Amino acid sequence: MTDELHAIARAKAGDPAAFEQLVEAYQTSVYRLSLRMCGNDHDAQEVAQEAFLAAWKGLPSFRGESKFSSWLYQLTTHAAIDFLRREKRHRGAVPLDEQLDLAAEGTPQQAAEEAELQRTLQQALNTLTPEHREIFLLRQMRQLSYEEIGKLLDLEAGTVKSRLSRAKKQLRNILTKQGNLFGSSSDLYSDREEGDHAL
Amino acid sequence: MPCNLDQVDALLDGTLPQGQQESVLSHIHSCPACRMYYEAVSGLEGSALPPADFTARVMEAVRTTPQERVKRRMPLRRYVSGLAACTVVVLGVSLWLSAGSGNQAAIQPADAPRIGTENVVPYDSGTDSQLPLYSVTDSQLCAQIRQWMQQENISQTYPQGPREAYDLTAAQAAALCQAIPALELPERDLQLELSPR
Repeated sequence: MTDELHAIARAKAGDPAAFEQLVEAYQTSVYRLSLRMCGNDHDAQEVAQEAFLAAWKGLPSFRGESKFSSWLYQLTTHAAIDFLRREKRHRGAVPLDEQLDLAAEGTPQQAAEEAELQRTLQQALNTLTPEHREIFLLRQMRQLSYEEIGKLLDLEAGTVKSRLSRAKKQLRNILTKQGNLFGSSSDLYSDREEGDHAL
Repeated sequence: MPCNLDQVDALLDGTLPQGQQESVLSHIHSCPACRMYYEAVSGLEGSALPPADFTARVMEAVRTTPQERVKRRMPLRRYVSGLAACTVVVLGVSLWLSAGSGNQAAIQPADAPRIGTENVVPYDSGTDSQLPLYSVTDSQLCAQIRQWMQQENISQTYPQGPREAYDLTAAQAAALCQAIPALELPERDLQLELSPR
């Protein structure tokens, strides 16, 4: 039995110390997924915490039919959708990227370029419905298979594919337009790209 | 090469054939629109980190939050309640007793360990687990169960010292009872604990 399976079994039996190991192991991936779902650091922290709390409460029912990580990511997107619905009711609109907290590295120019790219990406993601964003992120960011997503969300694989396709189409439209805009005014990403992709 | 975002997606997914990768990358390099899409999707993960006290905050909430109990399916209890309501408790109990002993006699060899004896003991596992716990102490029976678990590829859920514990779904419990007639467990989700080696 791996350490993780052991920790899951112990946490399932009510051991908080074992659950803490799981929080340590998954906090970054859960937080980053929350951040993409919500678009800002403050809400992402709240959603990530809710997701872990839901995992703790629901662990006794977790039967290992999916991977623990997949189950946890689904709890995360679920918590985010609930949160966004609540916030929409209270604030009247889904928050945009008010304060996307990014730890950009490199030169100031690279940091600025990275921040701009991340802002554009988050703005594009925010145009998707939370349900489409959920499927897009589970597939593209967490690499879950169509079957896994379908099982977790109780959807047919065909529905998963069509929602993913719609989400991609919308993101393609927005991002390629942005790309043309940046491309015509300045070669914003050329320096970084040469280094990153060795084209 | 014209824009083909399906190919860019395939490159991002790692499913683009190697022979096409170079030309797609070359196109991405020269096309601002495709480049933006590629850069954005490949940068989804980002580099943001949760605050340093995130785990501590989660655990503070966890320590004051009880875990949800698994809902037990108790058709027998409902059945017995129905009988009581119909004031035929005595008849019900006698039927239950006769049915129980009849089944055991029919399916178990004379010298086989029996349920309800010291070999398989159901008891409330309290806060340790949300499932009803059945503890098996007979070494022969334990060996048979272990062998079956191995065949079925059912792994231990948690070891506690020399003991082993397995969570079984209703279907697994039913299959186990079918494989080992000396064993009779209720057909519901349960935890099975094996002791002697």
